[in-house]
Order: sequence, then structure tokens, then C-alpha cells
Amino acid sequence: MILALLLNLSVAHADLPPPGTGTAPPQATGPDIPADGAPVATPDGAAAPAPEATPAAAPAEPEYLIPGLPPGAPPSAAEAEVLSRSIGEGLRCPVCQGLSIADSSASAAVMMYKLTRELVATGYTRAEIEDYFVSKYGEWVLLDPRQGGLNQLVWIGPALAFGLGLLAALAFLRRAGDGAAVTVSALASDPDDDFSRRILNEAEDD
Amino acid sequence: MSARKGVNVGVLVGGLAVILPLVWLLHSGFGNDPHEVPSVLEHTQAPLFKLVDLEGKPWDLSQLRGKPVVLNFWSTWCLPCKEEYPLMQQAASAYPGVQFLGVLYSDEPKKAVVYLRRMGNVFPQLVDPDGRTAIDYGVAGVPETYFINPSGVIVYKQVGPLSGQAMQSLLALASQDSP
Repeated sequence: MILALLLNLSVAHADLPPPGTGTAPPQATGPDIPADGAPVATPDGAAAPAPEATPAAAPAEPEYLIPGLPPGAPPSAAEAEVLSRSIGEGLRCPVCQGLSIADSSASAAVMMYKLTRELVATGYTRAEIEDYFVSKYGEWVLLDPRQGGLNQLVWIGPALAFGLGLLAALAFLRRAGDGAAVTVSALASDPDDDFSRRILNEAEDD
Repeated sequence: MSARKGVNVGVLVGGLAVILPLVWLLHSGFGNDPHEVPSVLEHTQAPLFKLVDLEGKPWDLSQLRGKPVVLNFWSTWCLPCKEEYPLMQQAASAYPGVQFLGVLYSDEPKKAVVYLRRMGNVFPQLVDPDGRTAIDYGVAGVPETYFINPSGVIVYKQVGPLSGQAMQSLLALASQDSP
């Protein structure tokens, strides 16, 4: 596999423009890859001048665990434990099959559950924590989908299908009953007809 | 006879009204992998982070604005990551204008240092305590690679190892600035 990747890379690199030649690679419709670009940070991590200077007077935004969202009042330790467990049981472990992060020992789940406990202890609410995980993993991360939009079909659909089925069954039975009555009355209306008389007689005998 | 035909048409229309939506649901559902984690962060601003690499040097994503960034989450216990490793190293060497950053995922830095020393390494490898940055990026497993354009927008999330051809195309995509 490594060899295959290397071969693949070597083929790919054969098509790559040499750094700085300004030839766009296939599928590129915008600017070329900056081979020697204008780095804003040096490889050793030292900060270099940013392209746009920020105003010196701008106050630094406090760093919250959920960026831009200050936490509320932290709960007691006991409340935090119960709430963390409850939230964790509703969040899907991304590498498991139908397990919550509270019930899984997978590393991804352990890290997510640890963060959940940290967020709860800091004072974030259930809705804020669930919103945070949904913003990163999508609604897929919720084991219990939210009741809104198309998701409502999950709750309404079965009841709707049952109701429609019931109506259809009642309509069918009613029509079948009407049809039988019409047939008998049609036979009775013409008792002189031999065929009708024989059927009516057989029905009476039964 | 005409009454019977009328009933049949009604049943037919009613049946189709019930069955067709079900067929549509099944058809659309068959195309989805229920275990696939959606990439909700594509085409949004990449979450900022301040991490330290294995050599103790700090890295701040906000300071990298203006150049493409390739963020590769990996670990030494992940076989596909090891298969992808030579490609990452070669691509990072071929494109010094693109900032490649590795992020250790649920791994011990000591093990990573040993592995990198043995295999050779040309770009910074960041330590992500408690996987906080990985969660911020919606990482579900490794390897996962994020291509971030000079404006700081995630243009693509690769789940699983990359091929050379895909790397080439995605580097070109990440080099295009947002309009």
C-alpha cells in the first residue's frame, strides 16, 4: 500500500508544476499553489506580521470553552455529575454502533465525554452543549433526533400512516357492503328472471 | 362494471400515494452510510487553535491566515495513517508554500517522537491535549485531513488516507482564496 501510494504520488508529482512556475495544476481554476508563498508564521512558530493589522485598542475577547459563549452559573458537583451523564447518554459515539459517549470506552467517546463533563462543570446548559456538538458533528451526533423540520415525520409518520390505513379499510368495507346490498336488491327487483329466482331461493335455503 | 373500474383507480392512486414516498425514502436511504459522520464544517471558518508541537514550539492557526494549511489528524496506532505518512511528508516537501500541520490524535507524544525519528519528518506535529482541537474539528477517527484556504475556510475534509492524485487536486483547491 505504501508502495502504491508512493507510486501514485510520483505519478502525481510528475504532473505537478515546479514550485514557482505559475502553472496551475489540473482542476485548479484559481491561483497557483504558492510554492514559496508569503508565510504569515515562520515554521518555528514565531509570529510574523499578520496581513491585516488589528487595532491595538480592540479589547481581547475572553476565551470561553465554547468560543464566544460565556457559561452560566456552575452547578453543584452532584448536579453536574447527573447532568453530564444525562447529556452524555444522548450523544452518539462517532466510532461505535449505536452507543452513547457515556457508554463507550472508545478514545473518541472518552474525549467527548470528558469535554461534556468539563462544559457542564463550567456552567454550560444542556442545550448549549448539545448545540456545540451538533455544530461540529451535525444532528447525527444526537441519539434522539430533535423534533423539528423533516424530523417530525419520525413522530407523525406512523400515526399518520395508521390513520390513513384505518380510513382506507373503513372505506373499503363500506363500499363492499353497499355493493352486496345493491346486488341483492337488483336480484329481488326482477324475481321473474329464472337465474335471479334460483339464486334467491338458494340464498333463502342457506 | 364502471363502478368497479372507479374503485380500482382509487385503490391504485391511494396505493401509489403510500408506496412512492416509501420507495423514495428507501432509495435515498440506501445511498447513505449510517455510520458516516457528516462534514458539517466544510465551507465554514476553520476553528482556531493554539497548540504546541512536539518540540515545544507554539502554533496559532490565526497567525497562518494568508496561506493554505493542511491539518492532518493522525496517530501512531493507526495503520492507514502510517500508510499515508510518506505521501504527507513528500507533499509537505514539494510545497513549502503550504503549511502542513500534523495533530496527534489520542496518542502519546513519546511514541510519536520515536516514530517520527525513525521515519523522518519535515513538518510540525502538534500535541492536542484531551483531543479538544480534534472535537472542535468534528474528528471521528484517524486519519482525517482538513484543507484550509488562505482565508481560513475549510474547503475539504478528507476521511481516510489520501491518494497522491487527490492530494494534488486538494492542494490546488486549498490554494484558491475565498471570493
